[in-house]
Amino acid sequence: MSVAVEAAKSGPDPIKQFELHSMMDLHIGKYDISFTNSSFMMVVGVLAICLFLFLGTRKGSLIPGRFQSLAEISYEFVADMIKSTAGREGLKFFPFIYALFMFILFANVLGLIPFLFTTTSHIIVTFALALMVMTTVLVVGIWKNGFKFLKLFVPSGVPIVILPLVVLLEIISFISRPFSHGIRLWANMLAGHIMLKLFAAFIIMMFAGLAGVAKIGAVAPFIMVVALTPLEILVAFLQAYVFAILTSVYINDALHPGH
Amino acid sequence: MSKGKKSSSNRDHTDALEALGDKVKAAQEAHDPQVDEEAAGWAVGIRYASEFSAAVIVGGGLGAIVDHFAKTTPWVLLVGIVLGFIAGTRNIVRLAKEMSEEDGES
Repeated sequence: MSVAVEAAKSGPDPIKQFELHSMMDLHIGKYDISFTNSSFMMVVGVLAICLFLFLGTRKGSLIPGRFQSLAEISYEFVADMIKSTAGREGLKFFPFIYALFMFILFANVLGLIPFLFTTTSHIIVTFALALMVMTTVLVVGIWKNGFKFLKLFVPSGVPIVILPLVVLLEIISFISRPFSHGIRLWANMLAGHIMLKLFAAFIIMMFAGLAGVAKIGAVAPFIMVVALTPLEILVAFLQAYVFAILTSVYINDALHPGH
Repeated sequence: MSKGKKSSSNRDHTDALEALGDKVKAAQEAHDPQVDEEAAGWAVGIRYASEFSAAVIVGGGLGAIVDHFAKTTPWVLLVGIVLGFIAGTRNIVRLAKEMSEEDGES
């Protein structure tokens, strides 16, 4: 109760949930590579994915059980998505895209469980994932197409006079992809978690701050939290999906430049 | 006589099947889960915002890097930000085109 009253007086800090705590101090030279709660949740996420797929593939029966059909659905979902955006050729990148999709999905969904940290709410994590995608696209694009890959920056049917400007814009637009890719996932997770926390805090603040019958007013933020929670679960899935589908779109660009 | 009867009963049969098919279709459409408009809109909004802001950040960043090496602070940075705005607008137009195409298909 005293904690609640204290929180009601000062107002809780909605950013506090994103703080990193070192769980095991590690230093290499001047670099701090401590094992933090973020790293811990990444390990938990990877272990959960392994467990999920292990349970799903253990039996391998013709008529799938619960876990097996879940694993099959996740496989078919990603495979269909790649086929529809990058064609059959894109299926070579299935392991990469599936790993990204599952990692982000598990990070997002695990983060919704109270007291657990959301790794994807840190921009450096999402940006690193996006950079991985862009490195793959660059390497594959140049390896597959050589200098033809640069056609990506030269749209067809542009008058020669403004071509340099357009190429410059295309280059900026290309470099901005990993940024927008990372920012999108990060902003969604960050905004959602702050919103949940704020409305949850309003319940306590209103209940402790108002007197008598007015305490009923705390029902309003409570309804908001109830409405926001399924929305957040939807966003967790949606963002993993958007990240994966854009990855396959970018890989399609690398495979077939000069749209 | 018997032949005609048979064919008419067959037709009844297919009619009944078609009616059942229509019924099933209607029931499926009624139960088709609708994506939460509000949530989808929010995601779309952040997508537009990230596409635009990323281009401005990159334009400004490239300008700042050139400035740093060419010692022309802050002129290339200003040009870069303007180019970033233009590229961001192009990103948004492209995204809007893609999205309206997606809507048209479904």
